Amino acid sequence: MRTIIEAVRLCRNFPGPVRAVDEVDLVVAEGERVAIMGPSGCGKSTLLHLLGGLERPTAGEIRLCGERVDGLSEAAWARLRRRRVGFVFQAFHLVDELTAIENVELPALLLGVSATAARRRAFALLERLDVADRSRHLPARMSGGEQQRVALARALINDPAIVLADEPTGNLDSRNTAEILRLFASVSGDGHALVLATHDPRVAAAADRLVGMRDGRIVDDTRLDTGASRRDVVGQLLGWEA
Amino acid sequence: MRTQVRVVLRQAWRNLRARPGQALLVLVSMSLATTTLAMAVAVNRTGDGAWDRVWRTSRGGDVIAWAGYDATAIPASAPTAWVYQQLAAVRQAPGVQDVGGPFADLTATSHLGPADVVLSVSVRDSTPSAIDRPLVTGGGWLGSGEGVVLEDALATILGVRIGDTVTVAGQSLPVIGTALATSAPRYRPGHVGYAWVNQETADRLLAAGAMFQGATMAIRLADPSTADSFVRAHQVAAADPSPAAGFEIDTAAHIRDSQHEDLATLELALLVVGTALALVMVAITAVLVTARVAAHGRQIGALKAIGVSPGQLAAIVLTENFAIALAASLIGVVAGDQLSPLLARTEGFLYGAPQAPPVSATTLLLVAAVAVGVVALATIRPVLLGVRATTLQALRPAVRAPRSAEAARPGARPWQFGLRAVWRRPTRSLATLIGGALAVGLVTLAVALRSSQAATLAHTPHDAATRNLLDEIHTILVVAGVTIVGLALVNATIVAVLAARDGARSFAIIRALGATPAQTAMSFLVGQLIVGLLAVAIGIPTGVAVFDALRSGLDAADLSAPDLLTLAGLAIAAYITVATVPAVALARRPVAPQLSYE
Repeated sequence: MRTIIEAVRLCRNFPGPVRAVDEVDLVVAEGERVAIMGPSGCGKSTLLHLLGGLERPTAGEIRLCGERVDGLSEAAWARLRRRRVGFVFQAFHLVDELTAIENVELPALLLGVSATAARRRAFALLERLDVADRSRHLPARMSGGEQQRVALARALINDPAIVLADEPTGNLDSRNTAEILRLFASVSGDGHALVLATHDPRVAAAADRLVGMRDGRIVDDTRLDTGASRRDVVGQLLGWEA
Repeated sequence: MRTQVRVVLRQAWRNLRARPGQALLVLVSMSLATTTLAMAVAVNRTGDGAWDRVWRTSRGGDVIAWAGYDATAIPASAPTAWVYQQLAAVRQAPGVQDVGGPFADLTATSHLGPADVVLSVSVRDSTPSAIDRPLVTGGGWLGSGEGVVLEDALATILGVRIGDTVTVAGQSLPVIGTALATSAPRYRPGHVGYAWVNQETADRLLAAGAMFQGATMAIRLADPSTADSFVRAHQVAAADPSPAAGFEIDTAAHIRDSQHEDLATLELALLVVGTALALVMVAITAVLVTARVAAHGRQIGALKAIGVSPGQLAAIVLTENFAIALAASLIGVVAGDQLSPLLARTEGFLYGAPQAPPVSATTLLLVAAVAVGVVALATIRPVLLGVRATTLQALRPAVRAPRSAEAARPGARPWQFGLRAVWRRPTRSLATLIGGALAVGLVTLAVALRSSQAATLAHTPHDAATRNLLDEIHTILVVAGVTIVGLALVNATIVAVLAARDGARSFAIIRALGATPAQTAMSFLVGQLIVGLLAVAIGIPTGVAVFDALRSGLDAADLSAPDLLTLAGLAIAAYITVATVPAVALARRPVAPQLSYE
C-alpha cells in the first residue's frame, strides 16, 4: 500500500530540558488506522501537530504522500493541509461565528471549490454523519457529539489523504464515543489514513495498529490485525498507564 | 461587614496590580480630561485673582458711581453741577464709609504710538487718593508738572513707553508713568483708553478742546456685603438735564465679572476640549472595562462559587475603577490649577500677572463628579452583565445566530470570514463601531474648530492682545487636537488588539484548516476595515453636525468636500495601520498552543 505519511527521527524540543517528541520514526499507509496511546504529556498531541504542520520539528524529516514537507513555509503548509490533511480535535474547535454547514464547507472554500459545490458537499457529509438537521445551528447550540460529527465532516470535505484526530472522543459520553468510532471506521473504509491520539482503550481497540508513546518516544508499535487478541494488547497498554 | 469591605478592597487592589498597563492607560486618559476640565474652571478664577489683587492694592471701591454725558453727544455747555449733585447724593447715603473722588473725567481724541484713540482722562491730585489710588506699574505718579499716566494695557498694546510723548487733544504730553486701577477698564482695541492727569494738565486740555464728560466716585461701604442692595437703592438719578446725561452705579464684583470676557472665551474653549476628552475617555474606559470584565469571567465564576455575591463582585470592579477616577481627579485639579495661569497670560487683558487660584472644594468636587460619572457610565453596564451572567453564560461566545436567508446563502470566501465574524458578534462590533465613530467625530470636531478659528483670525484686527488670545486658543486647540488624535489612536489600538484577542481561537482554527497567514491577516483586516469605514461614515457627519449645533458665535468651519474626504482617508488609513499590527501578530502566532489551550 502507498505510504501516506512518514516521519524519520522526528524531534520537537521545548524551552528547557523538555523533549516532547524524541527521535520518532513512524510510517502510516493508505487506509491504515493508527492509534497512539500513552500517558498525559508523553507527546501524542505534539506528534500529531508535527505531522499536520501545526508545529515545526526541531529535527528530523516528514514526508507526506512522498513529498518532503518538514521545511515548508507556513503558507505552503496551509495550502498542503487543505488538500491532504484533515484535523479533528478533542475540543472540536468549530469556528464559533460559523454555522455547522459553514464550518464544514470552509476548507473546501479555502481550496477554491465554488460556493455552491462546497455547500452541496458539506450538506452531503452532514447527512452522512446524521447531523444535517443541525446544519444551520451555531456550535454553541449543539451537543458535544453533534459538534464532533460536524468536525469530522469538516475534516473529510476535501477528501484528505490523512485524518489526524487528537483525543476525538475525550469530551464525549460512551454513546457518542461509540458513534464516532463507527464513523471513523467508515472513514478508513473510504481509503483515508487515520492517526488518532487517545487515552481510551476502546478507541485504540478500533485501530489497525497501536503505537505506544512514553517520554516523547515510541516504545511499542503493535499491529492489531495479526491474529493477536485486540483485548490482550489493549490490556497490556492499559498496564503501562497504571 | 468590615471583613467584607476588606475582601472587596483587597481583590480590587490585586486586579489593579494584575493589569498595571491597562490601569495606567485609564489613569492617563482620565487625567488628561480632568486636567482640562479643572483648567476650564480655574482659568476664569485666575483672572479674578489678579483683579482682586489690584483692587486690594489700589484700595478700590465696593461700589463705583459715575454721572456724566454720552461722549458722542456732550452738550456744548454741559452742566457740571448736575453731575456732582448726583454723586453727592450717593456720598451722603447711609452705609457709606469712605469715598474716593468724585474725579472729573475728560474725553479727548489722542494719538498714542501708531493709533488714534478716544481717551477718557481722569483728573487726579498728585497726592494719591485714600480710595481708588491707581497702582503704578511703571515710571511714577502725577507730580506738579505736566504729563500723563497711561493705563497699563493701553501703553503695552500701543507700544508706548515711559518718556515717550503722546498727543492728547492736540497737546503734546510726556508719558510719566503707567498704572492699573479697577475703576479704569483694561484697554481693548477699538474701545476707549484710560489715562490720568493732574488739574494743571486738565486745564490745558480743556482749553485745547477736550470736553468735560462726567465724574467718577469709588465708594467704600461699612458693610461690603450690602453692595448689591446699595446699588439697587441708588440706581435712579434725579431728573436728567439733557437726553445725553446719565448716571451709572455698579458693584465692584459685577464690574470684575464683566472684565473677563476674553478669559470666558478661553474657558469655553477649554470646556469644549475637556468635554471632548471626557467623551474619548468614556470610550476608552468602556472598552477597557468591558475587556477587563470579560477577562474576569473565570474569576467571577470562581468567586461566585465560593459565595461572593453579585453585589460584592460589582463593588470589586467599581472600586478598581473609582479608585483610578479619584486619583485622576486629584491629578487633574492640581495640574489644572498650576497650568491655568500660563493659559491666562493673555497680555493686556489681565490686571497684572495671573495667579493660580487656591484649590477649592467646589473645583475638586466638580472634577471628581465628572470623573466618577464617566467611570460609572462606562463600567455599570459591563459590570452588571458580567455579574448577572452565570459562569456558563460568561464562557459561551456572544455570537448571533444567522437568519434563515443568511444561513441558506452559500459559504463565504476566506477573506469574507472577517466580515462574518464582525456581523455575528454584534455586541463587540457595536462597541468597536461606537468607539471608532466617537474618535473620528471628535477629530472632525477639532478640525472644524481649527478651521473656524482660522476664519476668525482672517477678519480679526491684528492687534497684539487679540492675537495673544487667539494664539492661546490656537495652542489649546492644537494640543487638544493632538491629544484627541492620540487618544483616538490608543482607543483604536485597544479595540483592534481586543478584537484580535477575541478572534484568536477562530483564526487559529481557520489556519489549521488551511488558511495561509496572509489570508488570516487579510480576513481580520477586512472585518476591521468595514467597522472603520462605518465609523468614518458616522463620525465625520456627526462631528460636523455637532460643531454646527454648538458653534453659536463662532465662525463657520470652512471644510470642503475634498477636506472631508482627506480626513476620511487619513482616518481609515490610521485605523488600518493600527489594526495591521494585531493582524500580523494573529497570522504569525503559532497555531498549536492556541488550539491546545482549553
